[in-house]
Amino acid sequence: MTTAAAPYVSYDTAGSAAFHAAPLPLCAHCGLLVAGARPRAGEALYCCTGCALAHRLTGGASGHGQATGMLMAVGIGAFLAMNVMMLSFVLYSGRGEADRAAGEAWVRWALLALATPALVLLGGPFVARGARRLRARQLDTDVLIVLGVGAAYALSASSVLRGTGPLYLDTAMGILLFVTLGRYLEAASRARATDALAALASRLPSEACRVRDGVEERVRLEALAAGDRVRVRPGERLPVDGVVLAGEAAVSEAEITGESVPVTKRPGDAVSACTLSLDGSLLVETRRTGAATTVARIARLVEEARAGRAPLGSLGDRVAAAFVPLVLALALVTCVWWTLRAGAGAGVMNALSVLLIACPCAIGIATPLAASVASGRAALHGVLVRSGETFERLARARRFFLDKTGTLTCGTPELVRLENAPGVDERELLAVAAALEAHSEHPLAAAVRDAAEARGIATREVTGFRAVAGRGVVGRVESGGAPREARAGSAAFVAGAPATAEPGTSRVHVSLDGAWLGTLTLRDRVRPSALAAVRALGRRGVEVELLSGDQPEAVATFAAALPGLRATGALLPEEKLRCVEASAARGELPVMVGDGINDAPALSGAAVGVTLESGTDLAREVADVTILGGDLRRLPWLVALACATLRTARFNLFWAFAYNVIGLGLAVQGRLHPLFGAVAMVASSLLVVLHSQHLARLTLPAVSESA
Amino acid sequence: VIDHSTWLTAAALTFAASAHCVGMCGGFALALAAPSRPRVWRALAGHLALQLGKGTSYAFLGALAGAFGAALLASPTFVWGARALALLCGLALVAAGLTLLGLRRGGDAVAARLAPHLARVTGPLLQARPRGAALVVGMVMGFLPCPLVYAGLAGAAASGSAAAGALLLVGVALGTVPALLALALFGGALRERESARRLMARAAGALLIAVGVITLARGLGLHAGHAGHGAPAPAAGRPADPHAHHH
Repeated sequence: MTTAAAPYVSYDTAGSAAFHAAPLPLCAHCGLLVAGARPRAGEALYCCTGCALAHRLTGGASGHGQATGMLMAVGIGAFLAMNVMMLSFVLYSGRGEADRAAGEAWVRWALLALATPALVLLGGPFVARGARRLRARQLDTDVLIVLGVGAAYALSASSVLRGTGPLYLDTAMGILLFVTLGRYLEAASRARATDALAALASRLPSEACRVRDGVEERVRLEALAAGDRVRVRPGERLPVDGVVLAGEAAVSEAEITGESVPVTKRPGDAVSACTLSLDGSLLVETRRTGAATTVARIARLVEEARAGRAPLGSLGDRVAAAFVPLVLALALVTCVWWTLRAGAGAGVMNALSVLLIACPCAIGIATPLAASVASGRAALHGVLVRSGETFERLARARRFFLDKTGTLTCGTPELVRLENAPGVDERELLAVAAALEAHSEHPLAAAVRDAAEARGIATREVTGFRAVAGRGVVGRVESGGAPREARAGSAAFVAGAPATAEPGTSRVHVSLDGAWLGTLTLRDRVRPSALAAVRALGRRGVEVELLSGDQPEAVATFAAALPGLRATGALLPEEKLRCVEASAARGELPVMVGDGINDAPALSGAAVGVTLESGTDLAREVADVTILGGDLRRLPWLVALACATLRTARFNLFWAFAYNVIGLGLAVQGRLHPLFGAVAMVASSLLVVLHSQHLARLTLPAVSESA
Repeated sequence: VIDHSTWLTAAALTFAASAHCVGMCGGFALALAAPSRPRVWRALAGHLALQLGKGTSYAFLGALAGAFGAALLASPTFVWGARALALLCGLALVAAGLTLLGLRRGGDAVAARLAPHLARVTGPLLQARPRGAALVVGMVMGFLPCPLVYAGLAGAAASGSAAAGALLLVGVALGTVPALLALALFGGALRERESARRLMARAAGALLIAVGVITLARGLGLHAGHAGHGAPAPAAGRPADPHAHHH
């Protein structure tokens, strides 16, 4: 896949279903908006160094050249930086030895010679990004890093040139190395943004069969206009939104709604593009094409919601934003104070030392390392988390929105009730139904077969099997010692079947030789873990709400089974998105859990989008979290893990800065020693590394680990 | 004045144990050396770059460990510092020996966590082989979990200064040069001599355990009479020496 173009895609307004690139500055690796960037055509944009590195390493960018080029730059930079740090340590511990003094001047020049190219190789990306941030009038860790490293280098270079004075080159190198490592870790746990929107477009057939005056001809999709009649054959995807004129077919809307049970479409019913006709041939009058179709509208909503998502600066960035002005003020005061006391030289020197010690080395790994350990643990338990920031958002989320079909339910039907005609054995009814359905691909058929199997009913032979599109199946089944004509299907297909219906269920009627045998009622099964998950979330004190596109009655019946759940039904994709956005506007950091294409806009508009393994490609693409295996209890578990991660990150940052605040005090007084910088660097980084590891073993309350 | 016995000992012990290196690091050495072998001097240069990268990582870690040890030894609150470091060093040597004997699986958990990241970094470099790739691959190799390096680092911490620590790890790196160089130049033939290699690893394991036990004994204050200057110093010989940390 070529990702040289910006990954922003949209439907062409001219009416074709072709996708084209639009200049929205999104990161090519993680798909986040890159603030302050001006995208150029044909050039991949990255939100951070880590993303650029990870994207190229994981083969996202085409060609080996870029990946190896960047790796070599970082590798050689790290090689030089390690030598600088090693020599500096040796200098420190060789302090006071008379025979070393002569060699020391030589070592200092060597340090500067090693550090200068390393500074360019490792620091370049941060300068570029820091400048972009400043243009966007934002202060974040990059600005802090550039200030700190720049000051350390300037101070050290002047010391080497003057032949006397402190060297802080190891601190500068340490900061660069650790921050680069942190950025890489952060991005490595971020999944690469794939282009499921483009994949969705490719699902649409490129040609359609147009019917004019009784003559069928194949035309390009773009050539279709509203009013055109289109023939859709069994197994084909609908190319347009429209209304059925003739024919009957079971149509799978699973791609759009997540509902696995196909809907029978008859003349007069509305159908949408991208749905799949399973068994019948339909004549459809086109209402909307290309960009106007439901699926295109959803795709557009996804893009808009994604771009409009309020960026939540990472914890480190927020701390840095507050810290940078403070440090600058402190540096200014120090400069003025020392200039008045001891001249401009001392003023500049001490101001620089304030700036350099303000940047904690551990700031680069304080949050990413905690997030990396946490996402490693989550992955071990089948939860894939796209970015480290997700943990922070999850920990602070106040409201959870859940989709019904395919999320709280399995999305596959299950036999819940058997009604038999008087004098008919239940097992006989099921045996006949199962025999017929053994030859059907319909999801309801699978449920009937499973039910028969569970009751230990032996399979029977069927002869003369035939499926009637959108209605049912018919064939000859052995019953009562002789083969008889059996039918299974809709009430209209089976003579004598009761016409009653109840919301949220599907019914399969069965007859034998034209006499009603009985009716099987099937319903989408509630996930066994759903109740436990909703309860556990409630215990955490967050609001849980059900958003469904299903019929309100069906939703109400369903919600009654899950106490404490507020439920809304009959929601369009944009209405789901609006619910999520309203919650976000109230500052609640909403979490959306859903799996259908119709959930995708809400998933991308929410602070955190969560989907299940069974989710549609688009849902998995836009979601920040994917739960494998479909155990919803992993959701409250993940929230608990997220809270622990945020606590760990805060603790890490606190200590990262604590060491440096002591250093700031020394720097203002003009008493900062390079050794302090080195010790603070190593000690705070080591603390952060060790403290983050405890996330891997921490026992999480409320939800058992084994699931 | 630098005491050369420590790093020379480290080099000798690593050399003895380099049958182990052929198994662990040999893969990298082969991957870099084998296909572009028509010119021997080029393979040699590539291999030296690999060793330089690895040695730099080792020396960096050694300097770090040495600085830590120096801080610990200089601290008046840790009167047990020297003895604790000597014990640590002895234990690390015994652990390395047991790993070589195949009685202990060393660093598996760490390796499992690091492996995907290391592979992602070295993979593209080994494929594309830009100029200087060997240096960077070697550097990454230097951070592979290895019981010999752990023992070396414990020794570096006990050595009492960053310089001595770095030097000790340079010794460890040098000890691996002959075996890996032979492997790079003469190819997989060496690697296939499985039984001979296992025998050598066993012997080296026994040697490491013996040295580790001696170091432990000195750390515990036994055999105090032999701890004089003339004794052949094992990797951590110095901390047991009462004068060691007054340089």
